[in-house]
This record gives sequence, structure tokens and C-alpha cells, in this order.
Amino acid sequence: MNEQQLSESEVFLPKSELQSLIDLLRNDGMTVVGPTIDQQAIVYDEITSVDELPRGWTDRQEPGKYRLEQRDDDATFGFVVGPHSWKKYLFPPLTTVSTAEKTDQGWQMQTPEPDSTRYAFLGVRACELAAIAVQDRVFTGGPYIDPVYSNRRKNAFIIAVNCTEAAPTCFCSSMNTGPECRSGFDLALTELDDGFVVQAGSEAGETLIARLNTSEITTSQSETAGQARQQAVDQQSRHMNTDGIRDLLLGSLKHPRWEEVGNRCLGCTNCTMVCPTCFCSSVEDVTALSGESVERKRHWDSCFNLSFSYISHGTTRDTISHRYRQWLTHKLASWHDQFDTSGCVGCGRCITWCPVGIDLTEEVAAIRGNGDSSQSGGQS
Amino acid sequence: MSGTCLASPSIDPWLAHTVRIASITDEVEDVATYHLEFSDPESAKSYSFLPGQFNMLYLPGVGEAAISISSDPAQEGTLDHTVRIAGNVTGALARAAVGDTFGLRGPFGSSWPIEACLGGDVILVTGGIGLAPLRPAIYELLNRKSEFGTLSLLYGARHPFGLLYPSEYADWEQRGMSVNTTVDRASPAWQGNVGVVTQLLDRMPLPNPEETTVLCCGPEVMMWYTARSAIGRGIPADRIWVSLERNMNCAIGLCGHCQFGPTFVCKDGPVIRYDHVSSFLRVEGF
Amino acid sequence: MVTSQTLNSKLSSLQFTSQLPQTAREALAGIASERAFGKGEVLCREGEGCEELFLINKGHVGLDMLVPGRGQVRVMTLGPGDVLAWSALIGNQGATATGVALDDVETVVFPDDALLDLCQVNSEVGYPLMRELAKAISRRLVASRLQLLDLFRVGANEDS
Repeated sequence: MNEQQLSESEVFLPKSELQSLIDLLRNDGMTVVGPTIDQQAIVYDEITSVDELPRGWTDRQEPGKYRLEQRDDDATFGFVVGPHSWKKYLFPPLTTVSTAEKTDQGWQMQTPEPDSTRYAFLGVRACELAAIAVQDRVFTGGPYIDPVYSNRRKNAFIIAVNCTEAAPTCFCSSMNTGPECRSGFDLALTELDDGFVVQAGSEAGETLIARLNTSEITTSQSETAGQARQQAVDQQSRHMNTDGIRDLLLGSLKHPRWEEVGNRCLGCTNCTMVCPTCFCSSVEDVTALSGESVERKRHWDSCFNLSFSYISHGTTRDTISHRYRQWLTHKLASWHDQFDTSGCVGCGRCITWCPVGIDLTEEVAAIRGNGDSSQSGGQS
Repeated sequence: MSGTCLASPSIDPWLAHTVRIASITDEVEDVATYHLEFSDPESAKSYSFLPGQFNMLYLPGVGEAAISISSDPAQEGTLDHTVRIAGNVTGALARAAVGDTFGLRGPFGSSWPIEACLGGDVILVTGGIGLAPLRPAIYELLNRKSEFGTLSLLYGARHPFGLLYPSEYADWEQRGMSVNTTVDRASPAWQGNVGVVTQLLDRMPLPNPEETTVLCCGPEVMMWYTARSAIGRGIPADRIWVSLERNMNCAIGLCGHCQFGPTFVCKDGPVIRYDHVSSFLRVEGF
Repeated sequence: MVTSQTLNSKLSSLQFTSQLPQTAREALAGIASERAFGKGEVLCREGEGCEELFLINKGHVGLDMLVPGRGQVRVMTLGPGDVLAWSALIGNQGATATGVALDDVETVVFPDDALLDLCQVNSEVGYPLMRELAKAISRRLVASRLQLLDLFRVGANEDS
């Protein structure tokens, strides 16, 4: 296929040239964000050098558990996904949406100038590309467009990296979002021992390739890259049966399983914070001491918070099981009505970062009437 | 574009207009109507709303609250909100005075389906402060009286002095709407009906139930039993409309607070067809 | 002089009796009579025996209960299509509320004895009639519960 007049051909970028890629983007005025190690986790942060990437490290994940381990090779992207996702840059955890000043003519409201930051994301996984596509629908696909998200999104340059391994918590195959990056990127890399197989996904990506010191790809490099990508498919052990899942969940609102999972759930909101598609937020006023200048700040919120559904003297979802049901039925069921897609991309973060190891694939299987945990796989 | 109030689709949905309290009408205990005017004449000119829609009223330093509009959409230059003290924002509003300014974003949400009522009988069933979001629909139905069959209002309150807008009933009656009030608790002086609105509906003659539309606004329990009663009398479920209330924070479908199953109450509602939400209405904590 | 034929047509237009089979309505019309009450007249009195079942055809009847210290408290208002004084029919001792005409009230009246006899001997009348009565009482029970919920108490969830 010759989509968008892009050449389908892949090129080879030696590892020594990765720094040039970062430098070129930075010289173009972009803030490069990539994976780096902080507090014993691989997180996303601004980087200027390849030395900040988690070279030689990997992550071990299972329900309620995340540990970094040294690899026996020098892989730069030899891990899966950590607690961060790119939403923290596109949909920042704290933003000012408007301001108010008291003047002689009374209160005057303004909105901030559009954010001009241009981000280059390095190391975006297939499930994360899918998550960005989901949030595109949420923030820019409806009658109201979120100005903060849309400004940051349209300026973003995306360098995807194909997974070559899968964690036991991964189930992107079930959600049809990965593990291979197929669209939604400017460049996609597949890591080999000595470099990267690079594919352009946009004109901007192609232009950038032309400025890099690349070589033609050999048949053996192409085959090795294919095998590496296949390994991520083969290693995936967790599954979620999505057949008729919308009707299944919305038709099971009184299922006893909600009560059961509600008893285990701590209502800590971790799953919603690490989820790359969760978009709930609240806006609150921050007033200067003078009382005459106010900023309206939007911060991430969660449907697991009690106050989230408060209305005049009462809370709609007053128990944790009600709130867990809201989260799961929204993510996997009503999301289809609202945005014509699932809200889940199968990244497994909510399973890993749940302090009590609640696994949504297991909850769905239980509601489906198949509580057998072998259905959800990956239990160790 | 920052700081201007252009009525264009590209306008920042977070930008609030400055409004001024032109006057305040005390209604019933803890309820008052705020008559607002825009500071900016351009905003005033470009602003219009449909019956059933709401605004976000923004009191700087306190926060925002979703308040339905209660004035006549055809009456240019009037913008009324009937507000009951319920939380921080409405509490602050209760302390505000004529001349004070604050912010307004809107209008937001769906409207009462006036066009779907054409040619048939219309029954408005409401209780308590639920009459406020229906009042614009009452005005519109009366302004276009000849386009509809019979118009009836069934209105319940806790007690006789909890009935909103009593001074207008005679005018509504005179212009062609039958106004039937009822209270849960009668005072010794009360000569009217005692009981709930579903009883008024039960005993209403319905010559053409298939062509009758019910517009309902009140507590969810009341709306559910009203719909049950209406359906029992032969009114189709898809001709029953309810106005829902959920926590609203952004009003533009982006913050997640107001979800009710697949519905974002702020943008798909607040007015919604009963059969679209009926399966969720009696699910506890949903 | 009211003929049983005009009564019959009245019964077919009232919600309570409109659902009955035609034969049952005819049988009921045969034992019924019509009675009008002026404003303030009492149809039945709380605690006292009442030997008739009223079906309201026009006007409104207040149901009052006596509360020491508060006097007569209006608990409900009945209107066209509603039944009144059914307590005696099911063997209760006396009426459970005082029924007072609030305006010009027209009723169709059924003597309890004749009504019970009719139901007893003719299940084609008795069963559907008791079913309609159960439905009417159920509606009134739901209404009483909704009143009990006190939905418009300040602080109860309401739309604003």
C-alpha cells in the first residue's frame, strides 16, 4: 500500500545515531520526552541524552507488583509500560482553564493563551498509540473541543517503539490494539542489538529520517525485527473475552460480583491515575490572598472518589462497589456508546498498580459466568 | 481570542461571560429567582437558549453550579435562574445582592422536545423546584398554544407554601393550560388537593394517550412512578421525557462527573427520553 | 329517576369500572344508585361503620384523620374514578378516614350487602371487581408511600 504517498520502506538507524535523533528534535524546538528511571520505576520525563534512557533495565509485572531488574543485554527499550502514560503531557494533571479578575466593572473572566509547547514523545507503545487515539475522540471528537488537549496534541511528534516482549499483565492482543504499532505515529522503531529498524508513519517522520544517518535495511535485519515483534505476540498470556461485552456488563448491573470486588477494592484511584484513557477531572478555584484574582485549576479526578458524584446533599455512587461498577462499565461498555470504541487498550497498568491486584479481565470473566481464573491467564 | 466573548463555535468552552444581578425575587423558603443581564451588549445579543437548558453560574473564588434557566426563551433580554440554597455556590448566590457580578457559561444541554409535542396533548408533571426548568417550556407551549392539543400542568410540593410561582397560575390557566397543584402535607387552610402527582395523572381523562406527550421534572423516584403511571394509561414510553440531575463540573462532556450509563447528562441531557434511561433508573448507586 | 342503563354507561366511563366485563358492569348497575353531596357533607366517618361503597363520578372528597392536638388532618384528596369506603367491604371495622365533599360531588353508590352477595354468587362479577379494587388500593398505597418518602424535603435530591 502506498498510503499518504509514504514509502513503506524501512531503514536502519545505528544505536549511535539515537542521540542525533534527540538532538534534531530539540534543535527543532521540541521538548523530547522519553522513558527514564525514577523512584525505581520507568517513567516518562523530559530527556536530552540517550544516557537518560533505561538502557539495560526491564520491568517485572504481575497483579499488584512492579519491580525493575537489570537485563543481561543492553536493550534501550527492553521493558513494557510503567505507571506513566503520555496523557500526562496531552491532558496535564494540573492546568489553568480560566482566570477571573475583579475590576471596576465587576468580575472579568479570561482564558489562557494557547499552550505553544511542542512535545516529541520517544518510546510510545502500540497500546499507548491506541490510548492517544481514544483520548483524541474524548477531547476533540465531540461538540466541545478541549483547548488544552487539542493544542498539545496537534503539535506532538510521536516516535513509537514496537514491543519485543510482553508482561504477564499485557492483553493488547485481546483489545486489538497491539503489540505492533500500525498507525498513529510519525516514526516507529523496532530495536535490534545494534540499532533500530525505522519506519515512517507521516511526512514529518519521513523528513526526519532523511536528516538522519541511516542505511538500507538488510534482509536479515528485517527478519530479526519481525521475529522480535512476534515474540511480544507469543509471550502474551492474558486475555479478555470482549464478545458482546457492552450488553453483558450493562445487563449485569445487579450482579453479586460488584459487591464482591467492592469488598476487595480500596477505592485508592490508582487504576484511574495510571490508565492512559481515563479522563475524569474536576475544576476548582484557587484564589489569591487579595480575593480579587482567581485561577480555575483543572486537576485529574477519579470516579472512585466519593465526592465525584455528589449532588445537593447526597452522593449518587456511595459505596466502593458502586464506584468500581461505574469505572468498569464505563471503560468497557458505555464507552462504546459514547465514543464508538472501548475505553480499554489492554496495557495492564490497572492490574499492576492495583495495591490489591484486582484484575479487570478476571472480573469480566466472573460476570460472564466464568469465574475460572485460568480464563484470564497469566496468574502466577 | 483570549478574553473576548465571540459567539463563534471556536470559542473556548471554559470562557465565562460576566453577568450582573438585575433583580432578585424571593420565591419560597430558601429559593429565589435571579434576573441576570450581560455586562457586554454583544454577549446579550448573541445569547439564546432553548427551554430545559442550563447555565453554569460561576462565583469566582467559590466555584460553579449548573442551574437551569427558568425564563421565557422568547422574551429577549430576560435571563432568570430560580435557585435553591443547596451547596457552596448557591449559598454564595444567596448572599449576593442586586448589582453584583459573576460568571456564566452556557447555555448547555438538551431541551424539552416542543416540536415532538405538536398536534397532541401535553402533560407537564413536576414537583418542588422541578417547576423551574419546566417554566420556559410552559411559556413556549402557551406562546404557541394553537399548535398543541390540551395543555395540563400537574405540580406537587411538600406543602402549600412550597409551590413555586403561584402568582402566575391564573395567567397560565387563562392562556389555556390547566394548572393542577397538590401537596404532600396540607396546612389547615389548604383547600387544594392532597396527595402526589401520580394520582392527578391517574385520574386525568386521556382521550388520545398515543398522541400525548409527558414532560417530567422532579426527583428520580417521582419521575419513575410518573412514567409507570403514564405507560399504564397507554402513553408510549418514547413520548415521556424526563430531566435528570447529576454532578456537573465542566458541562461540556469532558470531565466525566455527570455520567449515567452511556449518557453524559450535561450534553446528552438533562432532558432525555424516558425509554433511553429507564433500565438504569432503579439501579441502586448507578 | 336514574335508570340502570344510564348508570351502566357511567360505569363504563369511570376508570375503576371501565375495565370490567360488560356483563359485570350490567350486574353492578342493577344494584347501584346515584347520590350527590354538597360541599362539606360527610360521606363516611372515621371509626364509624359505613355500609356503602362510593365510586366518585365528579368532584373531590378529602380524606381526613383525626390527630389529637392537630384536629382533622387531610391525608389525601380523592377525585373522579376513585373508590371510597372500601374498608367495610373487606370486613374492616369502620372507615379508616373521614370522607368529606370538597365541592359538588356526584357518586355511584353500591350497598355493601348487595355487592357482597353479588360477588359471592357470581364470580364473573366478584373476581374482576375485587381485582380492580386491589389495583385501586395498590395505586393508593404507592401514592401513600411516595408521600411518606417526603421527596420535596429540603435536602432531598431534586433537580434545580
